[in-house]
Amino acid sequence: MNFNISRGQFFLLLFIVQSGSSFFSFPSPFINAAGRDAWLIFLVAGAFHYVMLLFYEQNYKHFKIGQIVGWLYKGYWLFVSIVYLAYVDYTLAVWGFPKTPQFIVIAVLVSVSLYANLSRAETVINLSVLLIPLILLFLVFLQFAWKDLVWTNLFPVGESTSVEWTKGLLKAQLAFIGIELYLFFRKHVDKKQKIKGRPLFVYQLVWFLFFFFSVVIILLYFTPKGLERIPEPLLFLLKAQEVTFVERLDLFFLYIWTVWTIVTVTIISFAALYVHRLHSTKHDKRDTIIWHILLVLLPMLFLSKQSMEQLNDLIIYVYLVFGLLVPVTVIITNRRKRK
Amino acid sequence: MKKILLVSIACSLLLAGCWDERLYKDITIVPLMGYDGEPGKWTGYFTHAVVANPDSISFSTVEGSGVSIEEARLDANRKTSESLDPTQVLVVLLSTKAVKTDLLETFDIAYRMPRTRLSSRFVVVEGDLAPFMEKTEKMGKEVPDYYDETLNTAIFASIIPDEDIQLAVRLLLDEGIDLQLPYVKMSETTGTPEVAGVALFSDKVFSGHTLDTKESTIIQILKKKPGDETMFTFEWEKEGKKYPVTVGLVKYNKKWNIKDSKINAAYKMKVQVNEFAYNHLDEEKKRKELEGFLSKELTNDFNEVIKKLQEAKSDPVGFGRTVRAFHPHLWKKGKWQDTFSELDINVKVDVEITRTGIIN
Amino acid sequence: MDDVKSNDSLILYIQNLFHDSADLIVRKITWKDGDGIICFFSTMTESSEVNKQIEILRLRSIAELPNWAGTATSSVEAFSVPKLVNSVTNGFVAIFFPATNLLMTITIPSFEVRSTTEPTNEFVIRGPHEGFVESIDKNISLIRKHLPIPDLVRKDILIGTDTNTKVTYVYIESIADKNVVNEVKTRLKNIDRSKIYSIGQIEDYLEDSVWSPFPQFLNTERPDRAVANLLEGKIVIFTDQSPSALIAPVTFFSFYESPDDFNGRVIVGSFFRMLRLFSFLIAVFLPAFYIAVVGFHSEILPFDLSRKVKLAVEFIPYRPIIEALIVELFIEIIREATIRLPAPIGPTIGIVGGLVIGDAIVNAGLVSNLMVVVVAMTAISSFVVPSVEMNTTIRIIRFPFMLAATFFGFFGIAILALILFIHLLNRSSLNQPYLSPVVPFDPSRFKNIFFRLPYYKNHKQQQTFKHGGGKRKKGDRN
Repeated sequence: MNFNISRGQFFLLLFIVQSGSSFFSFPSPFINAAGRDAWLIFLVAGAFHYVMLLFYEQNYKHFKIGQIVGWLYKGYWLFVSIVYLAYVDYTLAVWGFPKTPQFIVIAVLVSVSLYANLSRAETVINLSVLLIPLILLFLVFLQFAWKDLVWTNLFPVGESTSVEWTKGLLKAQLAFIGIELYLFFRKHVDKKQKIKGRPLFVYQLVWFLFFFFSVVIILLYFTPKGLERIPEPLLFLLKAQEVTFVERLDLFFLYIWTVWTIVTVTIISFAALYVHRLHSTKHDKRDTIIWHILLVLLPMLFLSKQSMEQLNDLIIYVYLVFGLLVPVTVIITNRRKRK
Repeated sequence: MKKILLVSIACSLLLAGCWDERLYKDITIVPLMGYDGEPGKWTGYFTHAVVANPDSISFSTVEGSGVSIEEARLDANRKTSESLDPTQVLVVLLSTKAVKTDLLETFDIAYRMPRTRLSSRFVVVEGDLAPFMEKTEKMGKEVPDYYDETLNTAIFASIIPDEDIQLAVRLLLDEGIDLQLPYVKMSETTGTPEVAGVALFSDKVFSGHTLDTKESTIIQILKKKPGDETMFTFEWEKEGKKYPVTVGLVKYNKKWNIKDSKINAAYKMKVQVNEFAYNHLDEEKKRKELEGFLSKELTNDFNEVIKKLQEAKSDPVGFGRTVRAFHPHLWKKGKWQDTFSELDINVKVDVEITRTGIIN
Repeated sequence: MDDVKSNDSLILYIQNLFHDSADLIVRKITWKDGDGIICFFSTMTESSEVNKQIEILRLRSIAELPNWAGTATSSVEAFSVPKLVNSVTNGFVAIFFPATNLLMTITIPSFEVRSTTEPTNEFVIRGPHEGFVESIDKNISLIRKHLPIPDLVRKDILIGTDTNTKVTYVYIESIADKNVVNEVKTRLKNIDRSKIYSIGQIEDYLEDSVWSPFPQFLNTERPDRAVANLLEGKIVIFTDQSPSALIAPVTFFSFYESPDDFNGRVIVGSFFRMLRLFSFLIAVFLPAFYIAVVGFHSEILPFDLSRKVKLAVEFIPYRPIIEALIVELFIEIIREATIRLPAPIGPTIGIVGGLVIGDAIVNAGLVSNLMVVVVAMTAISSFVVPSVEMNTTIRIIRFPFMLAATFFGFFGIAILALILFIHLLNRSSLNQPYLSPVVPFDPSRFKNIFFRLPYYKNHKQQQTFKHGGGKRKKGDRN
């Protein structure tokens, strides 16, 4: 598969995948693990994210994968998609659709991804454009909480223990998942456009501010005790907002977030199928359909609250293997070989 | 083949139908609820909409009881034609007995179920709950509307805080601040419910202390969350004659100086004179005199309110939040409500008249 | 004598060719070197003018000018029967000289052509008030009037063995993309059908995906609109005897641009453009939204509003979707009927249908008054689009949304919106991306969708689905 994308498209894609599902799932475990200093810890995590981006940018050319690593990544992405789908389905069932059979909801979600992945590559790449106005809307409506924010919640500073710091930094990785796509799609970016330096920094800034904003707004809005009880604080915050023309803002944003997650799953599926096509070009359509059937069937096994939580814990470690360990190994081996 | 598959999927959808559908015509709005009782024995009152003919909507109240508020609702549900849908609640009335238990535990369902409206308000009423649910002639409108509008007017005049049930639970969970809820009494003259001030909470339960409307206004100012129109009236004595003076709050700032076990709070207010028959406000001397008088009166009132709060072991102002954030030593002394009641708190109010209305 | 005889039989032969049509005139005329046979349709030619032209040509031939037959209105070529038939059926006067075996054709057409009045379905407030007519030459002349440049190219193709319809495409050589011009040419050539008479049939053959509800060709009867699009590098396709022109390649947003935008002032133009896009959202989503609210998410209504809604829906016997379909069907029927009705009674039926029945249907309790409000607003919003095809498209695609809302509430609407977006991303118009500034995503051109910018900057149509435009390579999936 041969495609050429612009800088803007590339970063948009990356941003959507990184923020997609984790935007709702990330704050609660992170802040609960990190405590009141969560915002400080996220500053450090942000710096780490930038280091990773710089490392990727420096070495993406050396990231050439063979069939085995390709299959590993396909497995990884299958896992990530399943976690995301199970999570979105569980959340939908809790917030909006208690009685609708869950396999129907998942089938509907996956069918969108199937449709997009059967279309041309550019469709998937540009799908995320739809989300730009919706994300802006999201941020605007979060501002309604402004008057309810309590500034003193940020203080006292420096109370978190070293255990909280380690745990916090670990949980912050939830916001990183998807960064590995950088290595795969970077070489398709228009050669004429500069990425190193400022554009990369701007992306880092956008990513950082987006998550930092959500962390800070939650810290300011909820008390630590209240936060322990709420798995999706952002949704809850929106639910509590009163605007004159409509009640229950959370419903709208629940569905916006659903769309967001589907787009993420679509892009991840696209990445997996892209890697798949690097090695086998036959049965293009058949493999796409098989992949999506797996996406419908496998999440059904993980729809309870308990497996939800286990998966959300597990995904961090799985990510660390595939976002950090495998790329570093592959890059180092490839560099050695070249020498 | 593909088309047949698509069509059959679509048809199966049609057959299966709409699982989560709740047709609006089959559920009834419950804009007002009331709860009385204690854990294990709750009585709920539900005012729900009745549409008898296509032109108008009226409200009637049913009663139910059970071990929890949800069971009370289900009990009441059996007595109505359409199912009671607590998603449009404007006001929840609570008897003083009901708020003796932790609201958070009682109203767990309100926060757990996604369909609940979090912008409804809690109100504490004096005495027996049942009469508060009844429509009286003097209300002039339906009961839910009456409460909703009365509360809004009171918020506008900063008599009560602008708190919905979501904010209430946040205040309950925040150790550095206490909840205050609107307190409603039956008016002795008209026989309709009226806002009588606020009910103070200590930690998570009602402290038994209430404040009258003037005192509750002072709390909203202390907290720096006043409504749009905050006014005070005093009587000024001059040359043997009493002149009422009403001032409206324009702008003010607060400054808290916290040292171990002593809080000095300074409030600098800019006010406008709304009513002052003595006139002569164009003279600087008279203005200063009036400013001095107002500062003194307000300082007195403010300090008295603080005393009452300390007596009730309730900190609705939120001194605790600042203490927690910046004075860990004081904070770690013990439970904040106990620490607060023994603190030495001094309030000083400085009044400056900036506007005098369109006559001097 | 032989000569005379053969001429008479020739006349008979020609008459037979046209099956003895009553308006066919076949006569013998005398010429310098022997007789000629004149042949034309009296209904398509100005008979008095014929004599004058023949006289001029006769004088020229007597004067023995070199190439006497070549004047502004006439030409000469070697005779053949198909040529004769072709020129006569097309309204030429044909003169055949058996002696020299030459065929001279004179152009003296007399067609009834409507005056170039403003098209009734595309009114504008400011700007030229002329429209295309049923004559291709007149239409081209209208365009050439706007664009007196040599780069404006016209190409003709004859399609349909039975109908011999002339299809013409016009483009500006220096601006239009060669690939696209070639694409149009091949697609036109590939039309393999004996009877083609309307522009709609041509559109079916030219479209990239016929089964998509979205039109991939812009239909217009306005020369100024055609010219503006030509200047953006697009191709305009006519058929003879049809006043509407097809414009391609277009994007989705082209349908929301009106000549008014550019004739009006900047802020006003931008405002109306945004209004139109907003009306698109209303037209597609409003009924579905209402159905979802009444069926699933009644808790989102603020109390004051919910009480009104409750009153409205309490006594309606049907589910919201049935209710909506009743009103939708009703409005569609009124709309369809008023098109056919003669002008004097049209408004009456509109009033009777709209007001009287609308009011009665609410009073009878079949449909809630809110549903009537919702559907009527939707109907009006759908008519805001300055293009008739897009308008019908919008009216059709809101039905799936209503169904989705009935089954899944907001979730259904959100998913279907996503599917619609993917569908639009996949579409192309003459192989050019249909949703152009979005695919490929180009932030700098994004604003053009919502704002009419201060000066008319001609931008080229995006050519490929790939970033960077550029040349297409082999093996691309588009």
